Amino acid sequence: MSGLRAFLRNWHWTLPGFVLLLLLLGLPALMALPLAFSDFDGLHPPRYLGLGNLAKAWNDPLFWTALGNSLTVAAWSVPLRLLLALGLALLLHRPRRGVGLLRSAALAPSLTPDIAWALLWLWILNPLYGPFAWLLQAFGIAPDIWLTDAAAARRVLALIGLWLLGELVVVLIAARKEIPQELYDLSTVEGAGAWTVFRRLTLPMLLPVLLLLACRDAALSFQTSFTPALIITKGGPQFGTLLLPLYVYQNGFEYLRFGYAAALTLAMFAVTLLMIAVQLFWLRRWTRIGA
Amino acid sequence: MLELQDLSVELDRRPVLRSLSLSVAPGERVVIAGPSGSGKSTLLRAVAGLAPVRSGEIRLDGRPVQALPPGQRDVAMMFQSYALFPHLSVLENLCFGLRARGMARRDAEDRARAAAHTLDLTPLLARRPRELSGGERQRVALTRALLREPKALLLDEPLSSLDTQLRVRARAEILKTHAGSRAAMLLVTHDQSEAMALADRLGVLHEGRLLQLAPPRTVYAEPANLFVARFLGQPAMNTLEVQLALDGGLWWGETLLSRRLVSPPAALGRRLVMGLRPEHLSLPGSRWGREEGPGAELQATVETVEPLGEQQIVWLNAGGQRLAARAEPELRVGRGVSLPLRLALTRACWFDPDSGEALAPASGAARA
Repeated sequence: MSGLRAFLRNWHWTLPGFVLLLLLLGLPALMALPLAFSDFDGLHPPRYLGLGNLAKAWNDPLFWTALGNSLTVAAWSVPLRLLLALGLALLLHRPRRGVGLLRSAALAPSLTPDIAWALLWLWILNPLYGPFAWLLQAFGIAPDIWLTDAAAARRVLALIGLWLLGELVVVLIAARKEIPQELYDLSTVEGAGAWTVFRRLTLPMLLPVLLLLACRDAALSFQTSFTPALIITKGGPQFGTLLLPLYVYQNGFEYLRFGYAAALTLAMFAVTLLMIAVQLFWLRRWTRIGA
Repeated sequence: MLELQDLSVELDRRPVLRSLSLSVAPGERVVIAGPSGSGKSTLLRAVAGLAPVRSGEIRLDGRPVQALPPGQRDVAMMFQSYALFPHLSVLENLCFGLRARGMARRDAEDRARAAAHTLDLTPLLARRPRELSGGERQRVALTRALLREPKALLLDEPLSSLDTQLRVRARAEILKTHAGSRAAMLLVTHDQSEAMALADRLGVLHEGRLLQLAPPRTVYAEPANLFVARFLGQPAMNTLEVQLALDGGLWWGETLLSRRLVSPPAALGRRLVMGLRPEHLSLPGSRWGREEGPGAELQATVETVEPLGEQQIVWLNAGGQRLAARAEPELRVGRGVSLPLRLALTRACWFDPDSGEALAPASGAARA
C-alpha cells in the first residue's frame, strides 16, 4: 500500500504523460464509443443502431475467424517472445566488452517504424529472391510453403512478432540487475549449480516482472501484429492471417463501415481486458506461491 | 583447520592481498580487522572461491582447495547483507544449501528444524525475511551458514547492518551459535570493539598486509607497529616523538620525561615514538591510570572533556600536541586548567619513527 500512497503524493509527475495519453488515446476511444452503436459510412449522418453492430459481429464468421487468428498468433508469439527476451536479458545483463552494442541491437527493431520492418520481412520471406529462401535452399528445403498455407502464414506472423522483443529485454535486464549479487555469491558458495540458481533464484525473483510483461505483451500483440498482417500477408491466404485489428481496419477504411469497425474495436478491447484479467489472476496466484 | 599460505590476490591488476598467511583451528575464531579498503572482504571472497587467487595456497584440513569451485570447498559464508532469499521462507532459506547439494527435502527440513529449535528460531520458520527484524535476519543467516557443518565459516561484517543497541546482543548470539560448531571461523570487520569481543585471535589488515595476528589483549597492549597502535583503541593511542639521550634520559622536545629508563627500548641517542593508551595518562586526583613504578610528569592544559557515562575522555594540550586521557566519571575536570599529567612509562609502547615498527618490549608479540 505504501506504493499507492507514494503515487498519490507524487501523482502530478505523471501529468504530462497522462495528458498526452488522454488526448491521443482516451479522447479518440471515447469518440469511437458512440460510433460503435451507430451506422456511419462517412457520407451520411450517423444513424443509431443500438446493439445492432455487436449482434452483427456475433453472427459474422469472419469476426470469429479474425479473433481466433489473433488469439493463435498471440498464443504463439507472447510466450516465445518472453522466453527469448528472458534468454537475451540473462545473456546481456552483465557488463562485457561489446554488450552495449548487442543491447542496442536487441532494442533496435522496436524503434524501427513498423512499416519499415514489415517491408523488410516481406523481402526476407520472398520465395524467389529473399535471403530466407536462399538459406533454406542451401539446406535443400523447398522455399514456397510458408506464405501460401493459412496455418503456416499465421506461424510466420507469430515468428515475425519475435522481432519486437527489445523493450522486454530492456525491462528484464533492469529487473535482473535488481537482484543483489550477494544472493548469487551465496548460491555459488552453497554449491548450487547454474540450473538450480536459475530455477530457485533468478526465475522466482523475475517472476512478478515476467508476468506483468506477459500481460502487457498480450495486449500489445493485438496491435503490433497489425502491420505485418497488412503488409506481408494482407490477411490471406484464405483469411489465414486475417487478424482482428486488420479486420477492423478493412471495415473502417476500405468498406467505410465506421460504426461496425468501432464495434469490432470494442469487442477487441473486451477480449484484451479479459486476457489481462486472466493473466492478472495467475500473476496473483503465482507471486503468492513464488515470492 | 583453515590455512592460508602466502596468499596474494589481485583485482583489476591491483594487488589487494599481499602474501598473507594465517591459520584458523577448528572451533577457533579469528577476526581480521582493518579500515575499509584494506582487503578484508577480498580475503573472505578468496577463501570462499569468489575471488581468484593469484598465488599462494588455501588449505582446508590439509587439502588444498584454491583450485576447487566455491561449492566444493566446504566453506560457508555469511554476507554483510545476510543474503537471505526474499522469496523463500526462513525454513526454505535454511534448507537452501542442503537442497542445492542434493539432500532430500524431508531430510533437509528435519535438520533445519532441529537447528532452529536449538537456536530459538522455530517461531520464525514460516516467515519471509522481510518479516524479520535485523537481529532475527542475522541469526537466520548464521544458522543457515552453519547448518551444512562447513569446515570453515566466513563472516563478512556480520553486525554492521544492525543498530548499536542490537550489536552487543548479536555479538553474544554469534558466540553462542558458533560455540556448538567445529567450523574454523574467520570474521572480518572494521569495528574494533566487535573485533576485540569476538576474537580468539585478532589480526589487523592494512593495504593487503596482515600487520599482526595475536590474541586481542596482546594486539591491544603490544601493537606490532604504529598503524595497529592507532587503529585499535577509542580514542587512539597517544604517540609522542621522543629522544633517548646518551645518558639514558628520555626527552620530549625540551621536556625531560625520565632521567633514566629502566629498560631502554633502543640504543641510546636514538629518536623514538612513544605510544601511551589514554588509560595510561593519569590526571591528578584520578584513581585511574595510577601505575606503580617510574612514571613521568607532563604539564598539560585541559581542552575538552567528553563525558561518556561510564568514563570520561579528557583531551589535553601539551606543547602543541593533543593527548587523550581516560578518567573516572566522578572526577571534576575544569576546562582550560593546566595540570601535571602523569604518564605510566612502564606501559609505554616504543616504535621506530621511520618504519613505525615496534621496538624491544613489544616485540614479544606474535608477529603475523
